[in-house]
Amino acid sequence: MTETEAIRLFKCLSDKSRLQILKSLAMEDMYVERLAERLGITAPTVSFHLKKLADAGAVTSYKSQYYTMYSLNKDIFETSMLDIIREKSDEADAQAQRDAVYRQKVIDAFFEYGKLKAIPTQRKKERIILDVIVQKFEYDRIYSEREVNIIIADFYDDFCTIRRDMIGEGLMDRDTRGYWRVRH
Amino acid sequence: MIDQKISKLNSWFEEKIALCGKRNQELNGDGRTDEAIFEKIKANIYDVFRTVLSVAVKTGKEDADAVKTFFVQRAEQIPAGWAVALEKAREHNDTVRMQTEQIKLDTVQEIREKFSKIWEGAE
Repeated sequence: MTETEAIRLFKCLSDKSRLQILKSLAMEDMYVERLAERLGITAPTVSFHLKKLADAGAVTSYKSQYYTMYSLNKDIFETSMLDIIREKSDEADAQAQRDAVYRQKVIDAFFEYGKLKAIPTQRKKERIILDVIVQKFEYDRIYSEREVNIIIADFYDDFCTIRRDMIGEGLMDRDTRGYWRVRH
Repeated sequence: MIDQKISKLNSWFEEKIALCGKRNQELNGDGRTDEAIFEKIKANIYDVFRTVLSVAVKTGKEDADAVKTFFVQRAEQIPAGWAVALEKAREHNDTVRMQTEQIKLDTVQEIREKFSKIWEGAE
């Protein structure tokens, strides 16, 4: 169940008449007039609530002779609250998508035929271009300074600045043995 | 005579609006929020036609027939759009919209009948 579906379901359930309808359907499948009779509300009002419950995925309907029978969507109610909470947020997906679009825009603006045109002045943008360059380095491998410079020089002539900034951003690290790519 | 009829109708509107308000509170208190909204819709319709009556009285002055004509005309014109909306909702099997449009139409029908009874002196 997505976050949006969960919100719609909870909103839908926060109504006593709808809960009463669900309680009745938990016992057996019923048609509108039967529910209206049981609950003491009019048939159009029952239909109104059933439509909302169906839209939220809480009930389903099927034809049986002359009647439209309604039944509880048991799958929805077997989902635990914990499962719903653990579900990845739709908003997080949307955010990730927006981030990806922004990232691509920055890459397109600063790289031309694989070469960096200039180092962005904005830190956020520079971080994106450094992320691209660091992909050329393998994990679990120690590079000499000369190797690092050669790899960076494929992208940009001022390899010293790029190398220093990659260390500053925590993308690479170094000690007396040399340089290596940091796992995140 | 006309004053008596107007007063009767106004009292009836007030009673109905008060009753809807009471039902709205009860239903909200009982966690039946959508049905509480239905009561609010009804109360709004009564209120609209209470206003229509006061305009009809102002326009028709002391002429009972003029007041009646004005009120009856408005009671036909105003809900015309609701009937169209109900039909559209029915076509699309939009039960939620159907319910609200039906409530508005049922309420205006009740108002028309009440007006007619009071104006013709049956009450």
